[in-house]
Amino acid sequence: MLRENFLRLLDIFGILGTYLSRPEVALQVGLFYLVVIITGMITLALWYRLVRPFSTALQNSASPLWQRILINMGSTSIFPVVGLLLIKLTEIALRMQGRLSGLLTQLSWVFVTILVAGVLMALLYTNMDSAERRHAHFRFLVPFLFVISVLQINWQLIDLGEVAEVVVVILFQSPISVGALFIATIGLWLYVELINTLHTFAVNTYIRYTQRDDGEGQALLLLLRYALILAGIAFALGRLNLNSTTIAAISGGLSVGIGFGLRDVLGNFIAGILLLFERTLHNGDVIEVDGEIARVQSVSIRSTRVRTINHVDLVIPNQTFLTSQFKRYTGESRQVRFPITIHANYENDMSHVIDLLTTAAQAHPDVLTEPAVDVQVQDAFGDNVISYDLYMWADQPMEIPRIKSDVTKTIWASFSAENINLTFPDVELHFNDSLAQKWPNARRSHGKITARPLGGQS
Amino acid sequence: MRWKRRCLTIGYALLAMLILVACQAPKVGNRHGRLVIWHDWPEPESGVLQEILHSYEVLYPEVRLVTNYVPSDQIAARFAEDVATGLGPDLLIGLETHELYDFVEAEQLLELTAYALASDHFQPQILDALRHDKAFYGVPFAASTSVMFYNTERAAEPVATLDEMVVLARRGDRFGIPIGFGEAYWGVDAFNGTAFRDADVDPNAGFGAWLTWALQAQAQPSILFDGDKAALRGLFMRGEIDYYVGQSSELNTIRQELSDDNFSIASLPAGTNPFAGALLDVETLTVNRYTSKSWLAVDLVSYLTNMSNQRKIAHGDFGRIPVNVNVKLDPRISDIEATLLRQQQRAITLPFAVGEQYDDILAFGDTLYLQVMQGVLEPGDAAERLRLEFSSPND
Repeated sequence: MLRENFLRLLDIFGILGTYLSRPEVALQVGLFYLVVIITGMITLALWYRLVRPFSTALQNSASPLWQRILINMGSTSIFPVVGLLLIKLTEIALRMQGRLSGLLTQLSWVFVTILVAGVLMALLYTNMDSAERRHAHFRFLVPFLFVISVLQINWQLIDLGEVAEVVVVILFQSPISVGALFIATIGLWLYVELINTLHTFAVNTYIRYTQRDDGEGQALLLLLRYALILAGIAFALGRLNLNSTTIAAISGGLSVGIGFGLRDVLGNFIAGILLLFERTLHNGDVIEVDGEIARVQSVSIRSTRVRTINHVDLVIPNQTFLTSQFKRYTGESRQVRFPITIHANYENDMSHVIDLLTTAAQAHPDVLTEPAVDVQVQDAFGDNVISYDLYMWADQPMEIPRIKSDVTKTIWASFSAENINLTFPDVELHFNDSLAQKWPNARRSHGKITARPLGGQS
Repeated sequence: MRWKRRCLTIGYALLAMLILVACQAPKVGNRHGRLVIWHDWPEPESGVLQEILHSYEVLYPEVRLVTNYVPSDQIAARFAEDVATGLGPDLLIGLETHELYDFVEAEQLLELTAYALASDHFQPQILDALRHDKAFYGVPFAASTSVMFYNTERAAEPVATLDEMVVLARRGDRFGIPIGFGEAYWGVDAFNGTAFRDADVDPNAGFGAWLTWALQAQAQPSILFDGDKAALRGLFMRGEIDYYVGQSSELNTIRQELSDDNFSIASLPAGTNPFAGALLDVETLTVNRYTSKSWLAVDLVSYLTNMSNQRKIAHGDFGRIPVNVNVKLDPRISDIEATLLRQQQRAITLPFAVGEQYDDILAFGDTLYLQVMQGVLEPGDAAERLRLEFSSPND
C-alpha cells in the first residue's frame, strides 16, 4: 500500500512537472519568480534609504504609538506592495501580447498574504523591543511566510489536498499521512513560535498599560501560553491518529523513566508557578544569590535569568529559590540600608568623627536623606580603637558597592584633612630579661610589635 | 549582504531551471511522457475506462497516464477555470457537444480536424454535430440517449406507442416522464418535430402536438410528469412506477436497486413518427490547447476510439453507446446493447452552433413546459413563442 501511495505522490508531483513543461505555465511561473527577485532588491534599497533612518529613532518606547505603528507597517509592507504592483504590470504586459496571465493573477495572492501577515505583525512589534522583534521576525514571521508562500504557489498547480491525504508511513499500526506529518512538525513548530510571539506581546502590553510589574498577571499569561502550546501538541498528536492502545502501552512503560528523568524539570516548573503567583520574584528585582548581587531579567517556567553587576547572566533553576535562602533587596521597598565600618583612634574626638562620617555620607547624591544617615558606635572600649558603623540608605541596590567606595574615599579625604588617625591595632609585648637580651633592638612603633624587658627600659 | 547574494543566486538558479524546463522540445513520434486526463465516469463505469487506459500504458511502457475523476456537473466549469491559466488536463473525457462552443470560441481546445476527417470511425451525423466552420475541436467518444425503462415483473411487453401508453395508464400501469425541454424532446420527434425550427402554430405537429398530448395525458393519474428526473427514477427503482423514460447512462444507477431480471429497456414510444428519437448526448474527447504533449494526446484519442476499445465500452453495459460505426453488436448477446444502438441511430444531434444558446433554449423551453402543464399557456402559443425566440442557428 505504501508503494502505491508513493507512486500516487509521484504522480501528483509529476503533474506539476507536466504543467511546468507547458510554455504558457512556465512563462507565468518564471515571471512570478522574477518579480519576487526584483521586488526583493527594490525592497532592500527602499528599506535602507527610507525606513531604516527613521526606524532606529522612532522605535524607542517614548515615541508616540502611531509613529511606531507607522514605521513597523512601512517596514513590513514594502515588499508585498511593490510585489503586487510589479505583478499587475506584468499581467498587463502579458495580456497586451495576447498571452495567458490567469496563473500570475492567482499567484499574486501570495503577496496579499504577506501583506496581511506583515501588517498584523507590525501591530505586535509596537510593544516589543528590538531583540524581541528580531526574534519574532526570524523565528516566526519569515518561516511562516515562506511555508505559506510555497503552499500557495503549489496549490495553484496541484491538488495539495490530495497530497495531504497520501499515507507515507505506518507508525504503531497507524497510517500517517503527509498532511498529518506536516501538521505535527512544521505546523506545530510555527504554532509554538506564534504563541511565544503573542505571549511576548501580551506581557509587554500588560506591563505597559497596567503599569504593574507584578507576577500575577504575568503568571496567568505564562500559564495560558503553556496551556495553548499543550493544546497544540495534543491537536498535532491527534492528527497523527496514533493507535491509542499502542500509545497507552508505550507511555505506561516509559512513564516511570520519564517521571524520574523529568522530576527536576517538573519541580522547577511548579516552583516557577509558585514564584510568580506568590510574587516572590519579579522582573527587575535585585537579589543576592551565592554572594552575587544580580538583577532578575526574566522569570520563566523552569528557571530564572539574572544579570550580575559584572553583566554576567546567570540561569538559576527555580527550585533554588524555594529550597535555599537568598537575599532580596527589592521587597516591599527598594530602599536598602548598608553599613561601612570605620575604626578610629582613641585620641580622636568621637563627636567630631561622627560629624565627619555623617557629612561624608550625606554628600553622596545616591545616599537617601530619608531615612537619615546614622552613625553608631559599636565598640567604644576596644583594645586599640573605637569602631564606628556608618549606616546609609539607598534605593539602587545594584549600586551599593559603588556608593560604598565613593563614601569611603570621601571619609579618607576628610579624615586626612582633619588629622583623624585611623590607627592600626597597637600591641605591646613584655618579654622576660632573657628574651629581651635576645632581641635587644626590638622597638615599638606604629603597627609593629616592639619588645621591652619586664621592668626594664625599652 | 552575503545573504542577499545567496538569495539572488538561488533566484537566478530557479529561473534558469524553469527556462530549461520550458524550452524542452516536445518529442514527436516518440510515445513517452505523462498525460493528465480528466473524466466524468463514476464507479463502476470508470473501471472500463481505466482498463482501456491501462492497456495503452502496457502497449507503451514509457507513457504514464494520470487520471482524475471530476463529477459531470463540475467538469466543464473546472476545466474552464484551469485552462484560462494554462493548467488543466491534457485530455478531457466528458465534455458534451453543446459544452464545446464556449471553449472553441475562447481558443482553448486543440484542433483535431486532421484526425477527425482522416478516420472513418464515426457516424457522419455525430461528426456533423461537432463541425465548427469546417474544423473539429472534439472527437466523439461515447453517447447516451433517452430510452424507456420498464419493470419486467409488472409489464410483460414495453410500450410501443403513445396511444398505447394512455390505454395502459387507464388500466393502472404507472408511467414516469421527466418534463423538460431536453429530457422530453423525444416527444417532439414523436410528432415529427425538428430541432428548434418549424415548431409552427399548427397544434397537430411538432412541439405543439407533443404539448397537446402531454396536457391530455396529464389527466391520467397513472402518468406522472415531473421536472425532477431523480425523483421519478427513485420511484421506478422502488417499484412505485412501472415505466420510466430516462437516459441510458442511468442504467448503472438503476441496477443498484433492480437486478437485470427485474427491468429492461425499450425504444421510446412512437407517435405519428414511428421511430421517435431523443436528443443524443455525445461525450467528446478534447485536447487542451496548451498541452505540451499534443501528439501523444491525439494518439491516445485515436486509441480510445478504435473498434476494440469502443466494443469494450459497449460491453461494459452501463448505457454508454459506442460511436464507432464499425462496432456491431449481436442483439442475441445483449438486448440492452442492441436497443441502445437502435435508439442511438434514431437520436437527434444538435448542430454545433446551438451550443452557444443551448442553456438559454433549455431554460426557455422548460418555462414553456411549466406554463402549458399548469394551463397558463396553450400548446400552440408555446410552440409559436419557441419559434419566435430562437431562430435557426443556420439562419
